[in-house]
Amino acid sequence: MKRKKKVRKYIRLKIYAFAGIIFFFALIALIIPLRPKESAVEKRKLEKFPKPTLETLWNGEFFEGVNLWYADTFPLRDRLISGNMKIHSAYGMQKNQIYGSTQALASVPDEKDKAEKEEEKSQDKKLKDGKKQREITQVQEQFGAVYLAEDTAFNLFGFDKAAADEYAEAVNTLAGKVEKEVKVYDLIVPISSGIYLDAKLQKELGSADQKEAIQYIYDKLDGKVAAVDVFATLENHNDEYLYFRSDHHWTALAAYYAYCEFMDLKKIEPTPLDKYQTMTFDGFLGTMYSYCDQAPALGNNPDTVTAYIPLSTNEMQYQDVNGNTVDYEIIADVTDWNESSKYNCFIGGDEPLAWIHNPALTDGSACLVVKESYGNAFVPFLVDHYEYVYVVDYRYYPSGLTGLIKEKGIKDVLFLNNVMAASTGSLVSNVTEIVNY
Amino acid sequence: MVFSSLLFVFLFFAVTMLVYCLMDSLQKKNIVLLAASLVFYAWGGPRYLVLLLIMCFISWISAIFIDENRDNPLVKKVGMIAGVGLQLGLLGYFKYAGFLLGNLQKITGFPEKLPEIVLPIGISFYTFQLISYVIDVYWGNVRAQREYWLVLLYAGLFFQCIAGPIVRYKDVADEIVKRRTKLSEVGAGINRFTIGLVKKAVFANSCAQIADTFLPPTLEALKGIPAAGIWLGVLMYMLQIYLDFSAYSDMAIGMGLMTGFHFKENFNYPYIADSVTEFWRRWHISLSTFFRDYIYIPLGGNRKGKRRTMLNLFVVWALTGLWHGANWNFVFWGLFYYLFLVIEKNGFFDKLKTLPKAVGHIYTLAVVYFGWILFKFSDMSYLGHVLLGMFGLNKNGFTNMEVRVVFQNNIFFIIAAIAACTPLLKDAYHQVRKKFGRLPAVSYIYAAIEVAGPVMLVLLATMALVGNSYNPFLYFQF
Repeated sequence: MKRKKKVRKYIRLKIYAFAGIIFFFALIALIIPLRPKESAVEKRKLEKFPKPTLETLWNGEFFEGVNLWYADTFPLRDRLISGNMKIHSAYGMQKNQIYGSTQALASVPDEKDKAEKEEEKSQDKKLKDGKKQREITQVQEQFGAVYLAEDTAFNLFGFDKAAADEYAEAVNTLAGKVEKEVKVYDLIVPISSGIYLDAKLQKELGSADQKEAIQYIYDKLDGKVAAVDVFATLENHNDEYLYFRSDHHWTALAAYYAYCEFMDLKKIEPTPLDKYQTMTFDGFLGTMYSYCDQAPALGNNPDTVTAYIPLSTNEMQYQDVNGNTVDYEIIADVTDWNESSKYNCFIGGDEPLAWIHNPALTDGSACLVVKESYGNAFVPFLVDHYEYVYVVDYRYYPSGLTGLIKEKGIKDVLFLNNVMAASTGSLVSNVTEIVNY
Repeated sequence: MVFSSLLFVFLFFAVTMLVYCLMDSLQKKNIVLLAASLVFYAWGGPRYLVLLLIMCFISWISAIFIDENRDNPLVKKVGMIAGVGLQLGLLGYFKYAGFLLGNLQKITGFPEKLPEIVLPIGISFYTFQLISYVIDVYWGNVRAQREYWLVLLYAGLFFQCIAGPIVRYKDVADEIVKRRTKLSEVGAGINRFTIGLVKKAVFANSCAQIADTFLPPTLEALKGIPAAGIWLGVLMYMLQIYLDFSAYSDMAIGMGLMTGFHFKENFNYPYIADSVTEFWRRWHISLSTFFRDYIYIPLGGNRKGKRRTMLNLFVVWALTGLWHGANWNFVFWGLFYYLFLVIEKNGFFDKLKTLPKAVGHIYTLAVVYFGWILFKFSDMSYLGHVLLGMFGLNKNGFTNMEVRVVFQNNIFFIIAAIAACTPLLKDAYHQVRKKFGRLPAVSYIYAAIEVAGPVMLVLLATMALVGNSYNPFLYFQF
């Protein structure tokens, strides 16, 4: 009898405990201000509460939307997610992991996952002066598959010959279009997997050979284009901090070695690294961190961004996507920016057009860098060697290159692209567009 | 709405249970359950609610008609045939019209355009419940329910309306109007509900993720998956489908217990069966007993000679296959089982009993494993490449880095998921309790587990549901 009473007592307790946890979450889920609106780590806006219309009410879309909103903006979201990550890390031996499918590398490229597709927005804007702009299709740089080895994430490389052909063709076309005294350079940067992982492992992971891919493109360039080969020099330094562990970019140090190669080709003495003043930003958790579902192995070992300030100036200007001109700094202090944005310290991030005037020179020399985000870490090193440095991000630049080259009296044009971008069809088509515009 | 969503657990379930407990009479409690069920069903698109209401109306009216004409066999029969016929007609239209016309089109070229009919959620489940009700009234097993809303409550009750189990009216007829909730049963219900939630949110969803890695949606991508990857993918799918489906039954049974309903078990650890015959006694029990009671036995069962038995079985298994989906692969899947059941019926079953148990287990698991391949892929060319790829015939190699890495990354989870498909943990829990439960220390630990366990499980499931946008619901289309 006593035992039975005891049993009843703990069952009561059990019911209270269960009701307690259910109603605790039920209540905080009702407190709307507790709901997050965006996710910093995932770099996306969370679902919004759907607008009801007669049609969506009738066919159930509205209710589906409520479902999504309720789950996506659940209070304590970040904590619950990190709890889930901890549980996942007990699923097995996770020294090395693969995110995304390596099959994507082998199959047709250009296959973007849904989230990225949603990012694509077609804009056909008119400038303030009424001039029509090139239609901009925003395409993010893509990760097919990511190999996470201990605390380092490697973006694996899928080679698309057709896109690479189109890329070489675009560079050649520009070289054919510009005046004789304009020199065109092409610098293709390998991504981290090509420099850090040994060849056998790359092959096993289904990652294509980057050295071959770069050589393939260089072989397609005609005589007017000078190839800047940085593969060997980066490989020689592969015991150094050339790429971020939690982000798909290279470091400014790697960019410096590439800059030395470029200077070599131009027969100019590069500035010794220790001459620069530096800024460092700790706690960087980049794109790979969110791609790898915020893997603790990365989260516990954030990256450090080191930036080298040009000797002559730290001032620049850029034109944003709306056509506004903004004064900015070549190396900006991003200490207070969130952990995923530290790579933005270089030249204001990805803007359609940026330009830097070097007050120490008056020779009228001007160069143009055509780049995606890999160029950002590289541009600061060029600043001291030209009176003017122009930077075009081909994904966002609204008009053509030839007009800019002519107007600004540019003599050096440098295509600086990572090998992944140079063989991704949706990105290369942008290069083609601004060359042919 | 699905059970394994945050909205269901923390809004719908919480509010329904709160209001349910506040009601002082069973009548009011039933009204709460009915209102909640209608909202639940309408959540997927209110237009299908109309269909549910009509189906229940047909059932309700034909059952009363049958009951009124109890003594007139012919009229009674007409009532039954009309009621069941109408419901089968509606099920046929919504579920099979597209499939039938598609096949017709392939053969005759007619019709030129196929109608696009969306399958209403749960239609296969609630139609079967309503049919069983009409037939049971016809057989005189149970009296007709005079109140329309109680028929609606029986078929539309959100516990089991969209994913089973297929509850017989006669099993709950009394409980709908007269039931008592016992404290101990509420406790047991909480256990079942939370275990089901974790089974789905943590186990089934994680299995699905691995399965999808190696069984990619496009044929092009599949061709590159090495043999070991496909084997692993199918294994994870096999675990997923059990954990997913049985989780819904667990949650339904659990919610039933919390409110005083006693639903029959729908799964009994099917993967520990040592023959295919036994597997089907343990898998989706409410469906196989439905086919047994309403098709197989009325057709004569095994009482009309061996040849007729085989024919009856053939009909049952073709229909079982077709119930799972309007596609040929489901029919093949049903007939695949028919084949093994016939082999077993013709002496192999007895032979199995003389062999070591392990042989029976391995044979059964192999049959079930390949069965799921048939079940999963409706596209025949894809299906063919899966089978070729399993033996390296897609020039896909045996294994690669990705397979090794994914396997290593999830090795403990895979072991846990396999264990979750067996009664190991449950048996151990009860064994230890039985042996040492009298020791005060042990009994305290048990009390602590019983009290804190469900809370931990809810937390675990919540983390998984927030962290995983990946939450497929396999049985929506059934």
